[in-house]
Amino acid sequence: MKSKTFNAESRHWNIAAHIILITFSLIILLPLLWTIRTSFATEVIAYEIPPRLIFHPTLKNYVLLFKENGFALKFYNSFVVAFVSTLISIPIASLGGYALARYKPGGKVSRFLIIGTQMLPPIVLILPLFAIFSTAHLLNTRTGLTFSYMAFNLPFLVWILMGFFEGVPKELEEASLIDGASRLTSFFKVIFPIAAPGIMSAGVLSFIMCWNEFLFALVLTGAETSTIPVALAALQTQRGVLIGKLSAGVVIANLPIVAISFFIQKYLVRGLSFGAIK
Amino acid sequence: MWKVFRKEEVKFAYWLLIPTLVVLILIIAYPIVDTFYLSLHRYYLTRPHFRPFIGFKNYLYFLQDEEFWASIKRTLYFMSVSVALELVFGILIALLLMQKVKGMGLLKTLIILPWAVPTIVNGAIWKWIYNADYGALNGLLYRLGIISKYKAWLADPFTALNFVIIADIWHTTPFVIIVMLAALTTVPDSLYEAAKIDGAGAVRRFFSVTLPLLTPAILVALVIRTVEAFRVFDIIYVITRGGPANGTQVIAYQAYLETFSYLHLGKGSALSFIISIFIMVLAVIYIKLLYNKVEY
Repeated sequence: MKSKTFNAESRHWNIAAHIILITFSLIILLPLLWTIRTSFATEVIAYEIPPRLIFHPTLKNYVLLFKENGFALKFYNSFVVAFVSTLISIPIASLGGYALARYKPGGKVSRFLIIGTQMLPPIVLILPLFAIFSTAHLLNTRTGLTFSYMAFNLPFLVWILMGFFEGVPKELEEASLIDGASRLTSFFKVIFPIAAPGIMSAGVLSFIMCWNEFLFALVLTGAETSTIPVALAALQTQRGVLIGKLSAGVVIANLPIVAISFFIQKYLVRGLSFGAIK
Repeated sequence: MWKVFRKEEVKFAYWLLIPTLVVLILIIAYPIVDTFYLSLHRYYLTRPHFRPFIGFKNYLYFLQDEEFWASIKRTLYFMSVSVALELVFGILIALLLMQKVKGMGLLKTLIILPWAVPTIVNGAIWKWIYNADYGALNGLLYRLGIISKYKAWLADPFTALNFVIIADIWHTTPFVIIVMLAALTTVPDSLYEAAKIDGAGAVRRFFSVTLPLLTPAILVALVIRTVEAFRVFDIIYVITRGGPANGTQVIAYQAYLETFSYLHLGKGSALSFIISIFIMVLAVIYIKLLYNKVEY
């Protein structure tokens, strides 16, 4: 008797859960699907009122984007800057995060400084950076932007990696120390491999943050060195927005990120949750 | 003996920290000091060589400026509404995702997408979903018969601000969900079973079992999201550029305008510094809260 009512309740719940599930999926997907649809539409169809759902798709928007707006270059810029700055910042952040997690130098103060700098608004750094870069001839260069991303993401990466290293048992390291290994060797030989998934997650997050960044790229780069977000914002503010082209740009900007999130979703979730909980 | 060991450890730790410190001092600490220095001067890029020291006059100017306080109010409104809704939606959806129902795995994957979308792209998508002449929102509501003619959603200042908030919620709720999911997966099922057997209903179970366990995660999400929302810039830049009639001009956008449009570098720096002070106050409150609640 009791289990029967229980079953009925759970069936109702099941239906309700599916309705909510479908609603949320639609809320998440519709804006994205609509963008993809528009990216394959000619301008005439894109501006039609009320909008048409079925039409003959065209690749014209994509072709124009690469021909007229130099999207190949923007894509290259975005990729190189994100990749190189991640490549530089991860080893630095690993060492720093490990030091903070294991030896707690400076106690709470150093942790507070890390969290505090991570919260700084980018706008407070941008003007002096602009000045430094212009005297150092780093303005409008990929190198300059790479450096600024590397620095700006560093506190966050240190914070996340600190969380990972705290999860590595101290005994492992002590054992290798007793075996006569130096601290640095034991870090690279024992700790690093264990923390590899964590470091991977931090790398993924770093890449995504760089890929998505806007303000620094807007101020510090020029026509030749600007990244995809800047190019997209420019497409939008031109007189008479070309919606098909813009949608195609949006799809291109999302491709690597979507690919990354699908392939390494596990790392991504782990990185985020570690950084957040620790 | 132990003391010597500890000393050596600390020395090693500082060696490891040197690269981090060098980068932070060069590209973070120095710019902050420099911004502060600039903020004490009258400095217009149109007259770069006329740069008198004026003390805290730039700050006083803003404290008496109506536009500044209006921006602060808008920022606080943006921050509280978006963060509150993101937390509520985030917790509810995370709880839903924990249910063992077919299809949840797929949704868990999908849910990351809006967060992974660059903020600029998010803004671009929503800007023309809202578009008055050919937007998808108008199209949808028109087709469903909810509106009889297309509407200009972003024409009214306050409505525009709320529509930007909707776009922000779509973009960042997934982040809250991920944080909540991480915390929820650590809650043993047996706790719920026990509460169920004790006859606690779903609502009771939520308030007496789930919510207390989620508190640290909620605090963390709250910290990160309020700080981010307070310094919101990208999405405003793309969707409304602070308009209409300054209706969406938040504080970070005002700082950007002062600096890069009006070229009032001194005032812009002062404004950036004010934002940082606000955020640091938030940070201190939060860290106190976190350190008390969570075991570190």
